Amino acid sequence: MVSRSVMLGFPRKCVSDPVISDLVKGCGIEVNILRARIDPSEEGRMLARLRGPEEVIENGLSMLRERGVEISYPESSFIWQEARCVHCGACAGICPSGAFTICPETFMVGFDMSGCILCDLCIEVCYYGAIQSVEDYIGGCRK
Amino acid sequence: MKRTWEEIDEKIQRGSVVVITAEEMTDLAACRGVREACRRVDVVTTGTFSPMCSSGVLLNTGHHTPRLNYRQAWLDGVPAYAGLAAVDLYLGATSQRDETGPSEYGGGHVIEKLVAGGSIHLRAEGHGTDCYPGRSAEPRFILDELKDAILLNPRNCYQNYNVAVNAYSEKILHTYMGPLLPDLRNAAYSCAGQLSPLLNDPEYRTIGIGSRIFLGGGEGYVTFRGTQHCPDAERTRGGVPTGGAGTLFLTGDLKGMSPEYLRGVSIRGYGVSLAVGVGMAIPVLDEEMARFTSVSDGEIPAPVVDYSADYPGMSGRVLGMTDYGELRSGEIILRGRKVRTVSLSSYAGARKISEKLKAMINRGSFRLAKPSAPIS
Ligand code: SF4
Ligand code: SF4
Repeated sequence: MVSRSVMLGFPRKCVSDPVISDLVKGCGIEVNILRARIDPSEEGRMLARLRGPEEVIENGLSMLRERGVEISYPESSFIWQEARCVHCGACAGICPSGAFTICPETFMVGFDMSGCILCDLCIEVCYYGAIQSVEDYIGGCRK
Repeated sequence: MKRTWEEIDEKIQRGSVVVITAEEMTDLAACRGVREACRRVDVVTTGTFSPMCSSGVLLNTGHHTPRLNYRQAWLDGVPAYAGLAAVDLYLGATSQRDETGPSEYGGGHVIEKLVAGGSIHLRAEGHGTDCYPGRSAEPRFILDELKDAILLNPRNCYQNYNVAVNAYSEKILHTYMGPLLPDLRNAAYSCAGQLSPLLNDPEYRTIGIGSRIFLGGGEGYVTFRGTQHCPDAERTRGGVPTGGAGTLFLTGDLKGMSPEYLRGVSIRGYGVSLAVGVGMAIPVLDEEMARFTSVSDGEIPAPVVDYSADYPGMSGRVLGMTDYGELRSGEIILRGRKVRTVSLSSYAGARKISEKLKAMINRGSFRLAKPSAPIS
């Protein structure tokens, strides 16, 4: 069993297509919808966490792709710059998914993106600018 | 068993001093007893690394031609205080570039940039008088070009502090203790506990005016008691204050400090500040000092305070007590529920500073200085 967070983009033509129920019923993938904005007249976006055997998830994702759903991986939503990290642990204390953790012996923070649910709480809690949204990072908003 | 400051200093010079960190002292006293720990150890090192809002730099830029008496000044767009003699400026860590609301860049970041060798843009204005005819200047400079740059922190090293929670509001609160989630879903604390300088010398027997310290990666001094210093706060039987108590006024030469230990921080919804790394070496003069320095996280109480209504409204109410052992475990129990804890102070950073100071004393490159007056 693996868990994977995915960002799904629904172009207008497939907003009314019941892809998610096919993912659950047809493929047997557990789908936990974390955030969604879908309006039948527009495009939709959905952040979801999928759980199931790896091949099953892969098959489910190819099915989505074939039906026109755009898939991206939330790795790209923010960047952890370890060199700027002071290991205060604030991100680990607030991260709801266990993606940021603090080692009980060394008190150093570690990061494993695979569990991330993209809630963005860590971006806010990091005072040191070590976790930046990609936009800020690319835009170089920090001097 | 007693030892004097002079004996300890001699040992440092001879290279025979026994120095361990406050964490190691806690472990040593727990397995060998305080008396034996006192016999073996001369000096205990402490550390803390945390945002400390009451920090800033006093700069002297050197004079301009023609002479200019700064009346208003901005450093990288961040307002500095110019109500001093001609070319002196004070830049506070929480001064913000955008004065209309919480900003991303401010005094703390300018200080970090300066100490990292970056070039700073100054805009200064004067009235133009007979002896100081200049009206404005816009030079750029780096730290080395300044006549003086003195870190001048009027309130650092708070001896213990609140644990912040959101008990009553349904919204996320954006505070200087970070985001506080509704319904008591998290608790934020900011203290190095058993590694913290003033919690290892709770009655200020060895830390006083004139103590030499590790400050921002360089050397500094305790110059006075800090603002809001409150030695009369309630204490445990072991002498540990049960909430905010002592504070220290710290000063040191910015030249020689490092951006590793002076970091600008920006706190969403609140503003900007400076995280400061501070370390102090405590001489084990007698068994009482050995007992003080062997304090463990579990023996240091911390008050839990609501930041949705009680703190802003000055109600003085404390929701409950916890201790740093529990806080550092990641979870505390509040009103019968488990609440996750968030640390703002870096324990890894505090530990690194205590280790570094230990190594400096072992090498003889850091000498303890006996205070010339107590801070209480
Ligand atoms: S909050 Fe920022 S500085 Fe603190 S441990 Fe996390 S990434 Fe590092
Ligand atoms: S966005 Fe940050 S806080 Fe939220 S789950 Fe991912 S790593 Fe954790």
